Amino acid sequence: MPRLSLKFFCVLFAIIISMVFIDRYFFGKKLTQFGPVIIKKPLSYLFVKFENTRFFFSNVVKIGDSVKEIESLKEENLKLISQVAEYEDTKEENSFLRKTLNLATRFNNKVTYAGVYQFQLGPNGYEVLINKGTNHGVSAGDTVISEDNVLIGGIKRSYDDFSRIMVVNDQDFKVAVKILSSGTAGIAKGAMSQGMYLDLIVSSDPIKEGDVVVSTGIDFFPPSLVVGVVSHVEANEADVFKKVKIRPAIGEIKIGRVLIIKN
Amino acid sequence: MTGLKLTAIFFFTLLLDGLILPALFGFEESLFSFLVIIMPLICLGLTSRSVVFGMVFSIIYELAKGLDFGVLAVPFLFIAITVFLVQRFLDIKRAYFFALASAVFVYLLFFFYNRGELAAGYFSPVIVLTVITEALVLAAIFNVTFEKNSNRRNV
Repeated sequence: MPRLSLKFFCVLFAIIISMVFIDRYFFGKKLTQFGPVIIKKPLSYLFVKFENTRFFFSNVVKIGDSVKEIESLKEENLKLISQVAEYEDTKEENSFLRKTLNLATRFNNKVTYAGVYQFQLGPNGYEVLINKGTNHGVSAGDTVISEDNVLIGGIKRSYDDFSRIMVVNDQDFKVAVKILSSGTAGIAKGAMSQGMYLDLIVSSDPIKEGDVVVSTGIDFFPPSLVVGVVSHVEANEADVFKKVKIRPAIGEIKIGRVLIIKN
Repeated sequence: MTGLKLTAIFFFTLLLDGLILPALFGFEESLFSFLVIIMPLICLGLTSRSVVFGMVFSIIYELAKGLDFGVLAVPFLFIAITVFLVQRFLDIKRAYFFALASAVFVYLLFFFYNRGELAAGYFSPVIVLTVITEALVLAAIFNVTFEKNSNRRNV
């Protein structure tokens, strides 16, 4: 085995430093964007196809429970029909009031469609790339949602032709949320493979497992986006706050195609 | 031939981590590609060739993910120096031992990448078990794939 010397490591360090220098001063940091631009199209296509395959097989596995599910869905459907009538009425009234007060509609901002083509855990949280960048009007801070109104995350950094998303279960992600049924509000923070934690929930706040968590709209994110479901509540008499865990909704939906709402 | 096999394994794991596992199985916590960057140092010996391969793989990873040059390659070189120092005191020869060592070095790589910080989320049971399992799987693959070459080299 040839012995490694300090000189050898110095040469490798020098190679990297010169690559950084060349990329920064001769290519304006565009050299590193070359790879994602080439692979984004085929990978984006494959990502959607693979995801469709996964959902197809998971549905096939669940087919045995379908009869019971249909019965309960029928009951639920009747309840929802009456709620829809109420909702339409409220929507009309809301629209009228917004016009009267000259307020913007919920998603009045520009919406762009994009495709996810890489999703991987990296040294600095999840590396999630989408195939739209600044050339398509996407910029850092924009909100990323699914077609089902589920909050996927926010744009962390955008390049010319692709962007990097910070997903909801990323360690640096924070969003102001509330419980749909009770209105209990707090801050949801990403906890990587453990989902999300809901902070600032005092012992007296009503919250239980299965509650739906939605965004409040008091921060950068639009209101009423589904964040997830409360999966665990731990109350300790000695603590002022409850320990609440959320199962993010992005784990149960297709994220191959996403919507980007300009903030 | 070793280089070709290593490159093939690396590109396969890159696809596995970023595309196949998350899209087809909904599993996003895989770290195969990082293990493949580090494992040659431990499994095939700390030679100039394994260091160069690791560095090239780090640069390819940076290019594939659109990261700035050096953000992964520099921490990798620090890992190579660490392995160089560690191997003076420890004899890493058994498969399970170099699998465990690779898992530890992946964490060390992330630690260097984040300039001395590592989020608590990386120590969740899911991620720790994933890293150890994947390291064992890769150790087995490396043992089977490179067994003949290493035997020939030893002779």
